[in-house]
Amino acid sequence: MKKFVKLAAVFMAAAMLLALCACGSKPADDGKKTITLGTSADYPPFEFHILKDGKDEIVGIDVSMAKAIAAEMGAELQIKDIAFDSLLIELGQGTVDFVIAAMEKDDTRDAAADFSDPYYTDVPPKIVTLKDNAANYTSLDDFSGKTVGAQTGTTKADIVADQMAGANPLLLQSVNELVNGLVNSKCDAIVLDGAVADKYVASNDALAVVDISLGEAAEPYRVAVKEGDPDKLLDAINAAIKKAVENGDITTWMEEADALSSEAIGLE
Amino acid sequence: MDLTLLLAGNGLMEAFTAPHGFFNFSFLPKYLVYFGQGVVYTLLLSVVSVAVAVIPALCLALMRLSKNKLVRGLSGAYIAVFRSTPMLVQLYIIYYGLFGVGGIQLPNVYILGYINLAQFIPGVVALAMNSSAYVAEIFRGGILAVDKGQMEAARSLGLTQWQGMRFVVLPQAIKNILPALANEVVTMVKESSICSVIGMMELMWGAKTVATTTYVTLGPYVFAAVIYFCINFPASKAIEAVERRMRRGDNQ
Amino acid sequence: METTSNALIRVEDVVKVFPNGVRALDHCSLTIHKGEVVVIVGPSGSGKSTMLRSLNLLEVPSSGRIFFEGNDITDKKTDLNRHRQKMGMVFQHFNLFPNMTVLKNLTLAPMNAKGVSQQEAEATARRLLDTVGLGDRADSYPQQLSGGQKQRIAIVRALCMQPDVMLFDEPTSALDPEMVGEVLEVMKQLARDGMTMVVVTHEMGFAREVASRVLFMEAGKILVDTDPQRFFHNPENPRLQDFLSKVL
Repeated sequence: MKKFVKLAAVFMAAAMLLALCACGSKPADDGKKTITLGTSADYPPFEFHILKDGKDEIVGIDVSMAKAIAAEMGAELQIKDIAFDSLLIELGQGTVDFVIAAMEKDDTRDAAADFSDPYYTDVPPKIVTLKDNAANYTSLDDFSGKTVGAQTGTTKADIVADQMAGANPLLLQSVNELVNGLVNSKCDAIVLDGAVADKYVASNDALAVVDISLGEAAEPYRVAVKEGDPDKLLDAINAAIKKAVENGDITTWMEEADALSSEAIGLE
Repeated sequence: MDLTLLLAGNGLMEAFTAPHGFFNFSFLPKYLVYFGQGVVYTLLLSVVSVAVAVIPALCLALMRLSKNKLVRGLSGAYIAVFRSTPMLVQLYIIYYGLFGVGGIQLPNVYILGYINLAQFIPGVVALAMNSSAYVAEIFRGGILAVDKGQMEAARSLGLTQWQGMRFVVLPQAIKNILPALANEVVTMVKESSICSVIGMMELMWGAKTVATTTYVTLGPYVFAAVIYFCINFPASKAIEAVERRMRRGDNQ
Repeated sequence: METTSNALIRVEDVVKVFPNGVRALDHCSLTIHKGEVVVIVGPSGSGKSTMLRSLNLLEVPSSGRIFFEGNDITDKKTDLNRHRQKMGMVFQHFNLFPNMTVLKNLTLAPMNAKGVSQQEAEATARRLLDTVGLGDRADSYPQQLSGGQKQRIAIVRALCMQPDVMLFDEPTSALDPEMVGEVLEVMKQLARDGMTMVVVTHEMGFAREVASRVLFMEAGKILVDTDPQRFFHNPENPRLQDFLSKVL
């Protein structure tokens, strides 16, 4: 038995080593530089999956922005779809080069990553409830004692915590889960980015936007790169953003994304 | 009376047509491909994970049965850790730890056009490491179920412990092990759904993606549940039937 | 090692205490010579099976030493597997390998432990099968055989290793009465052929007829070690007298 156990130990060690060796080799560079975008593609119209000619593809305003950045750098774009709250982890680990995911800058994020100039300013976040209850809410105080949902790790989660005194936060991973929570009475209201809120309300008769303002303008969206920008990407990113804003590309991309999203909903 | 009927009727209609309706499968003809690919991914992930788990599990089981306290303890510790912590936590630690920065870096290589090995391999490793803890116990149980006299007879003939295992005990233990191993695959088909959180495009991920893209928020999950059921229920029944037949064979 | 030329097995002051505290062997010493047929009897729980199983170290003694052909097999440095090849063992419950045919049962150890070629192993197996009258069952599986047939196969399995001694652990206890005879017959033939045998059994007839020595054990001790004549007809030990009065 002892001999066998030794054998087994050696075998396991060997197997692990083999796995390490087999996996350790990096892909050969094929001349053209590739740059990897990290995004959380469950957020139409900013980034979402569609079927194009029967094949899965990630599109949206942010993806168009990323393509423009890659073009600016003369690099090939790869997209990695990651849960929103893991985006900055992967950025820190270097498995993605930059993150565009309808992401605002705030203090916590600023400590973990570097941010570009703004490329898009959304309408302010909105509070969504069931249509039948929308009239019940006239001020933020009305949410005291109510359960309000928001996406984990977003500025909307901060709004629930900081601006809605007495509200019980329900933090979920995706907007889709939040909407399910709302229509199935797991929460009384949800806070979404303005454009996203409008999309969901337009596509679901049971939902409505509450007539309460969450500020004049939203914090703008920016591109995130690894803290300290070790690969010196920010210059090219800011140049691409400047071009896109000045040429009005962002508006075009917004329209394109809206059209793609509507086409995706139009289920025929 | 009429009113309640009407209301009930409306509720029923809503279940099929509302974006959050339980039976709203309007996404189906167009987005079936996500579920199709998801099923293939899920099955591949489950079968490969359990297959990969078999060898380490056998080692763990034999170590667990060893006379050496240290060897036994090592194996016991591994099994305890993986059985006493959530699969999701293990997945995060392995994906972001073992395969993260400073760990094993994998190239983005795609098989079947959509299965990214840089995600698939960490997923398999996480599921297999977890599964091997459970499969080890299956093996141990299967080996212990073989009459002690079998090993004694082998040893009395001058065969080594390993020869006794290989020629005599393991071939008999396989009978007890195979059905349990098949059941482990069934469990894995369900458990692997958590790999959707790291973006592996398996069945659960497909449902989530269809839900966000189409704003049909519940139907895709219900449909995924139906698929999971249609895979696992017949599979479990088949395993049970095979098990019954094998047991009958034993008594003859 | 000092040893008299014909001492095959020598047991020196062996104690066996099981993990549950039971003292199965209590300072036992014993020498078995080449060609002897030693029968061990005693009430159940007396330690006779433990004694037998210690001889090839299926039970590892807590203390004391056991020599086989002059080698201390309780020494951890000894290659036990090599010595076990020369000590055939037959179990109460046969312990045939149910996943193999009779022929595979018989050739497994010769081929894998001794490195005998398949051809040679099979030839030996078939020849020995014929001697116990089971030449036609080579391709059967154990579950297709009767108890008596199984035990005869088990004896042949041990013989295929061409052992220097055969150990029998209650070989007829699990058999239906009508099958006891066929197994005892094989054992008697073995004894007549000069095989050294150590037999734990309740078959007093076999002991009387075949044994060259009979041992009586009780409570982990060897109380009597004598020839069958004196053992059965002139027992001096009162415990043995008591035992015999119950079984005869």
